[in-house]
Amino acid sequence: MGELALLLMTPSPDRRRRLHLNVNALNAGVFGGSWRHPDHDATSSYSLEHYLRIARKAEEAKFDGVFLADGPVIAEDLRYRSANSLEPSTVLTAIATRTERLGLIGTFSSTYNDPAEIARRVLSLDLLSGGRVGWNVVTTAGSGAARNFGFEGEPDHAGRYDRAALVVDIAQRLWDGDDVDGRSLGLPRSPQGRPVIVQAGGSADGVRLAARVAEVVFSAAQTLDDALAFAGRVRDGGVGFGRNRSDVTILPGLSTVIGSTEREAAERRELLSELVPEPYALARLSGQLGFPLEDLDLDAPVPTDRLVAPEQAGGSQTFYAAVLGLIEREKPTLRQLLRHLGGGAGHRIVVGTPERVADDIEHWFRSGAADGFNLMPDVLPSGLDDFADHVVPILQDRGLFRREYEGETLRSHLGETVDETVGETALAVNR
Amino acid sequence: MSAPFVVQIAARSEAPDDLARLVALTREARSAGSEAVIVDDTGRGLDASVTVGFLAAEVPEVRLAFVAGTGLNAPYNLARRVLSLHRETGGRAGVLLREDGTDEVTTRARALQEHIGFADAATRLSDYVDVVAKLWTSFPEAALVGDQQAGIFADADLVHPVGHEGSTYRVAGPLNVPTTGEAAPALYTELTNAGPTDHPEVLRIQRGQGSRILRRFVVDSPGDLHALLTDAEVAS
Repeated sequence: MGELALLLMTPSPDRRRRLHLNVNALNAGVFGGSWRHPDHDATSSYSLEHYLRIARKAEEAKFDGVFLADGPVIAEDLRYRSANSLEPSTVLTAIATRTERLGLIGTFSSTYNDPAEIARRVLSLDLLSGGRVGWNVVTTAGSGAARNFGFEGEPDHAGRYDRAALVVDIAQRLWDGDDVDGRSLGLPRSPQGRPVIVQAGGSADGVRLAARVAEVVFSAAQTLDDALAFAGRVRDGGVGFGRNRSDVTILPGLSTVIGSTEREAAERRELLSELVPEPYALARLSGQLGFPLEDLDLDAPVPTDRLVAPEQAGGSQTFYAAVLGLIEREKPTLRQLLRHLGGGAGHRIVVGTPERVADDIEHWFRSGAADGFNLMPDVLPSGLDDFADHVVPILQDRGLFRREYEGETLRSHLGETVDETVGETALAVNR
Repeated sequence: MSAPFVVQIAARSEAPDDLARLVALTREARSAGSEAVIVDDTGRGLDASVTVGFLAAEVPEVRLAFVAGTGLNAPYNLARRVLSLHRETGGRAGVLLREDGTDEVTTRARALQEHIGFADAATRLSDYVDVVAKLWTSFPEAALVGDQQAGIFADADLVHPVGHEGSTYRVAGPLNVPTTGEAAPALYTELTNAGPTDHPEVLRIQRGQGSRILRRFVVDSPGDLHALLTDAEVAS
C-alpha cells in the first residue's frame, strides 16, 4: 500500500474516535479475595487515602475519570470481603481538591434521595471541581436498603426506573436554573453545561432509561457479540427518544489481571481464585442463581432446570443474564463457575500481559462493541498501577488513548465541546 | 474568652474568591479557639457538606460541621455522609441538625404505612437525633478485622442493626460506615428553631454525658469574629 493510500485511510487526529477509560475504584478490587492479596493492605479501602492514591494514579495516566459504585446498605457478606463504604460525594469532594483534570463519577441512588437535594449536591461538587462531575444514576434494589428508609420491601423494578427518569429530569431542569415545584438551586450553570448522566442497569427497564437519559453507559457484557447487541439496543432506543446514535458513550466493565508474562498473569489469577473465601463464593453464587447450593455436588454441571428467566430473577438482572450466558456457552460445573466468577462482580475478565490486555481493548474498541471501558482492576491499587504503567503507554503508542488532557471538564474528556460563549444554551455537542 | 463557642459561616457563591473568604474565616475561627466551624445551609446555593469537605482539605486540624435540614435528608443518608466525612478528616466532622419538615424519601415510605401517626417538630427532631446517634455506633471500627490469613474481613458479630422505630423514622441499619478511633461526630441542634436569620445559641448533644450549650458567632467577613469576641468579653 502506498504512503498516500495510508494517509488517506488514517483519520485526521481531531476526528478520530478516542478510547475512554474510567477506573472503577471498587474498594479492594473486583474479586472476592482481592482484600487478601499480599499487595493489598487489608482494610485500607475504608480509608480516604486509598481513593486519593487511586485518583492520583488515574489522573497521571490521563484517565477520563474515577468511578465510585455505591449503595445505602451494609454488605451481607462483610464477614468475608471488603465492601463499598464511604459516601461517594464526600470522597469525590476530597479527590476534587487534590486533582486538576480527572473526571469524578459518583453513584447516587434515585430511589432513596430527595431529587432536589441530590441535584444540588451533585452540581455543588461539579462547580467546586470546575465541571468534572458525572452522576451514575442507579435505582436501588433489595429489601435491606428499603428498610433503612422506612420501607418494608423494595419498590418494584419498573416503578424504580420510572422514578429514576423523573429524578433525572428534575435534576437537569434544576441544573438549567429552572424552578421545579417551587424549588430552585440558587447556583450558576455548570462549566460543562450540566453534570454528565451515567447509567448502569442492563435490564429492559435499564436500557430504556439509558436510551432516554444516559450520556455514558456502564454496561456488562461477557462477549463481543453481546456487547455489540447491547450497544445497538441503547443507540436504537436513543434514536426513538430523538437522540443521535453517538450521544451515548458505552463503557463495558472490564476486570483486568496483568502479569509481565502470560504465566505470571495466570498465576496471579489463580492466586486470586484461591483467595476467595469459599463460604462467600457459594453464598454469592447461590444468590445469583436463585437456589441453594448446600446439597449440590460442586463437580456436577449447573442444574439448568432450576434456573429462572432473567425477568423473573430478583436482584440484578444484568449479572444474572451474564451468568446465564456463561452457563449456556460453557456448560460449567458449579466449581468451574465459582472459579470463573472469582467472587467478582460478574464483569468480563481479561488475564495476560500488557500487550494482550491492550490487544483485547483495541479489538473491542475498533469493532464498535465499546467506546472504552470502566476498568475494574483485580487488586487496588496495584492492579491499576500495572495498567497505568504498562497498558496505557501501549494504547498511547497505538494512537488510541490521549497523552494529555485536551480540556478541563469531564465532557471535554468525553469528546464534547462546551461553547461557553453562547451563554444559556451553552452545550454544543461535537464528536 | 473562656466559654466554649462555635463560629458559623455561609457560602455566598461558588466563586474562588468566596471560597478564599471561607478559608480565611475558618482559619481565623481556629486561631480564636472556636470549638468548631459550622457551615450554614438554607437549601439553596452551595451544598454545605461539599463545602465542609473542601474546607477540611484546605484547613488542617479545625473541626467542621454542616447544617442539614431534616426536610431534605433521610436519616440514613445524613448519618452516613457525616460519618464518612468524620473518617475522611481524621475525626473532625459534625452536623448541625435543623428541623424543617420530613424528607421526601421518609414521606413516601410513611405514605405506605397509615398506622404511623404524625409527631410535632420537637418530637421529630428528637427522633432524628436518636436514630442518627444509634447509626453512628452500629458498625464499630473494631469489627474491621482484615485477617488475610484466616479469610475473615469483618467480625460481623460486632456489627448490629439499630432496628429504630420512632415516632417518624423507621431505620433498620446498621450503617455501612465504621466508627473512627476518635469520638463520634459532633451533633448540634439550635436551642430555638428560629432559623438562619436569628442566631440563637446552639446545643451540642453528647449522648450519655448530657448536653452543652455553646455560644454561636455568625461571621461574614474576616475581622468580624475579633470584634464579636471583644464585645462578648466586655459584656461578660
